[in-house]
Amino acid sequence: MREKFETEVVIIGGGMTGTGLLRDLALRGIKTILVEQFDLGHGTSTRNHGLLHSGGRYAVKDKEAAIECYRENIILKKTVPGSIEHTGGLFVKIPEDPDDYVNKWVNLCKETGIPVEEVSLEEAFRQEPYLNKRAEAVYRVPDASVDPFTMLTDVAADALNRGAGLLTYHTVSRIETKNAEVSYIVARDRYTGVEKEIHAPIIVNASGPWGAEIAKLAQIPLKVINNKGMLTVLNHRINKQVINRLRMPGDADIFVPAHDVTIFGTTGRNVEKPDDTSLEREEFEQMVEEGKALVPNLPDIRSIRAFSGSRPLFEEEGEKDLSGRNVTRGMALLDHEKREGLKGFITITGGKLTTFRYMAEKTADLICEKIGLHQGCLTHEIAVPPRQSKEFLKHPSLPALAKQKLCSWAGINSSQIHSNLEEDNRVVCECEQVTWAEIQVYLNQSNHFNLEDLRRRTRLGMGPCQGSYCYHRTAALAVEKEATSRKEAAEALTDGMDKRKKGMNVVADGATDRQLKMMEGVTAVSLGIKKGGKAHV
Amino acid sequence: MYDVVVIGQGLAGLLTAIRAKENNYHVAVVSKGSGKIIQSTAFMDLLPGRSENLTGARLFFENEQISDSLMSEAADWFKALTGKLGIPYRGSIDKLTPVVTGAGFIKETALYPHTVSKIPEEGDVIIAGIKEIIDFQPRYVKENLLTEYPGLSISSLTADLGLKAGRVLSQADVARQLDEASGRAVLISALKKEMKKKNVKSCDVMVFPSCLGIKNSQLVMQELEEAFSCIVTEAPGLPPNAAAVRLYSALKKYAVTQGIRFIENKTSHSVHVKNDKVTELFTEGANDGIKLKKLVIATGGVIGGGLELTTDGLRDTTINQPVNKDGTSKHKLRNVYYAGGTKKVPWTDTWIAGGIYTICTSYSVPLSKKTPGGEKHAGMERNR
Repeated sequence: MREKFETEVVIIGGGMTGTGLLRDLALRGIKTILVEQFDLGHGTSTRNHGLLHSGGRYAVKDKEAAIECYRENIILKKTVPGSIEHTGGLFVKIPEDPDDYVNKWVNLCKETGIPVEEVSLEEAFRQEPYLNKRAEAVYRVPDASVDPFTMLTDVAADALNRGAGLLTYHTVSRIETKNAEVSYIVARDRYTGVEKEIHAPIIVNASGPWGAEIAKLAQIPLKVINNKGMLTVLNHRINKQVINRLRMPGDADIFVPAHDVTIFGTTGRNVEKPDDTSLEREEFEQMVEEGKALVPNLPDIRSIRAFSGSRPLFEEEGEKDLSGRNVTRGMALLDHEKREGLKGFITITGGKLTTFRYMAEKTADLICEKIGLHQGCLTHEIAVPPRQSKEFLKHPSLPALAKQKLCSWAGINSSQIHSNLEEDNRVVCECEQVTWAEIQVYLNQSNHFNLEDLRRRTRLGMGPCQGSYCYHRTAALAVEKEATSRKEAAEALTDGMDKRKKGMNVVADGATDRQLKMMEGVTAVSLGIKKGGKAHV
Repeated sequence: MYDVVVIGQGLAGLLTAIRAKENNYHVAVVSKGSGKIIQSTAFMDLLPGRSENLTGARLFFENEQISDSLMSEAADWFKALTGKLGIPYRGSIDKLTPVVTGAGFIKETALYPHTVSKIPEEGDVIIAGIKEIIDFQPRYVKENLLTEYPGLSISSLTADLGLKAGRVLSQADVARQLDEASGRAVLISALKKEMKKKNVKSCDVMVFPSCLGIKNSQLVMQELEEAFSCIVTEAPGLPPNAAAVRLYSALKKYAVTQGIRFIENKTSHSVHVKNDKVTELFTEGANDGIKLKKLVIATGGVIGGGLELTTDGLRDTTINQPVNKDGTSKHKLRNVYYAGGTKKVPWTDTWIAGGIYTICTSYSVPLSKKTPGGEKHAGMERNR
């Protein structure tokens, strides 16, 4: 017997769009359950630059997208303040870039309303010492850096506080329809294998790269091009502001500062499978070669790891573009009742991290229209709770760096972290200054012990050592504190280390190669952990 | 002018320098860091990180022209040396010993420090954690050890030493506390209290994190064994392990007192070559080179930093000579020798410091003045 649930809306896909929609609907008082196959942000939403576009990048190519980006840029800075750093961004023209693009770009930015300010070269080089000294023109726009991990966590937490439902690590195996109308979905727990039936008159496919697969469950043909982009994490923050190249958007032309590092990318290659996050050394080397145009000594800067994610680009039947770069990166909201006659089925895809809120708003508007509810969107006004939490500054026994981190991190969990610190104030991840007290908060919220989930919430293992020490430390502490079993800890460790190694392997030269060998040596030789073992989910 | 200059002060570098000094050479050690020995467990595995059985391992050594007799000689020399330094190593290269790691897993090793004992498959064991040491969690060790040896009866407990620090403490930090009598008294009373609380009366073996003293490990062992009337053993795990710091400190101190010159915090970058021989070694920030007769490279391969993987392939970072894909030198230099893991890259893939291989190569670097034809000593490939 499957457990049955009733709700008004089911969202499939816990990326930024789906999670944003969950919160939007919660604010409108609509009962919703979101089903995600792995952890929140497993797909594209945590596999990107973390760039909050000013719209500048799209001013020439796609004016509408540029307008959307700029508007959302302003809204998100107000409504998700804890995840956004107001870095500003530079657009830099180097001799290789076409001259006529500059004026065209400046004029279109002005037309679009994006504030552009020319920066003298002297000033630009002073602010950004890594910048190519051959730069010919530099402009400043209000780009910003956004932490997609915290944004997802905060938006989801706010939705849950407002009564929304969330099932992570649940795969949707069936979408049942009846008389040309959606009826229910079957979601299977990846850990236990137990199936749940969730009945709802509206089902939203917000599964990004998995969009076509999910639509197929409802017998709906859908063409999504999965355009995979590779990014690399530099081991320190080389730029204060986002640095873009002033030309038509291309590969390897954005540097985004993120916390203590810089994220550099990206590429675009179409892939068959939605879960293809493979990494090619050759692609990395090409990217570094191209990136030298903006940062000439890029080859000398250590990369900690690389990662990749797929942009789900919607392609309307009949349109053909194989490059992926020119297919619309704007949103696609598809009402499958109008398109194919299946009542209650909606797909929202495409778009950008920057416009997730707007995509959610448009989708929620369509849902309201369908269920006959006149409730406007509130997400552009109501902010998620802030991350700031100054009270940790006064903590008597916490190491200074950990204090600093908690002050800009703890947010709504502050009081819980405070009380956890009473019991144990130890720092488990020294690179990112993650305390056991933080980890405990998330362990209490989850039924499973998963190091990668903890990483996404606390930054555990995100620093230069990539979990070489802290993953084992955390697994051992969790067993010690009876927060998990020996077996689950071992599986989580195998899984977590494999994922860290995958990202390190492709950039493994110099210090990263050494770190990788050190990690393998410590695991196999010092700790005697045997190779093999399976990942848990 | 030095007779022998060794680059690197890890296990290979220190042992080679000591060995050369034993042969009355004028020896200098040039190093830029502290050597990867500090990050090791101080176990001398037959082939660290590899799964060959005893026969397979022997074959490996044979292929490297390291004979059985050389292995025995080198191992005996290492045991005698550590014995002289008050940190006697035990064990054998013919019969491996099961020891427990800081994660609770059993691994087999050849030589092990005096603070370590073999883990029995049956009997009563206490896993004694120390609250200040985050990298040794006794319940976790217990659970893993039970999967290895289900016949054991294991209790786990944690002693609080009441140390305060503004950072994460390590095994080595606690070891320095235990070097002092007051630190040992605190540990013993904290453990007794915990045992009473948990109603654990006695045991056959007590397993500690690798923190049993650095300078005074003999005293620490003696006092703990007396206090608990049982076998006391360390379980090295995540670095820094006291066992490794202890070995490094003892070898270094001995080398210094023997008159080996340490030129530290110096990154060497190139050599002067004349008639296929290195005559001078140049380091950063110095105009004059270090004049030498023989050069030993003991830079620990990729992990030690002597070799670096770059986008253009492997690079030798210390003397800047072209290397092959496997890290071996392309040019024949008649007075350059290699010791330890730096010899060939594939072997250092999962090596940290240590291992019988390192001991053998350090022991057999052909430096002996006494033996005519010593330069053809087994185990040492000259002029690769």
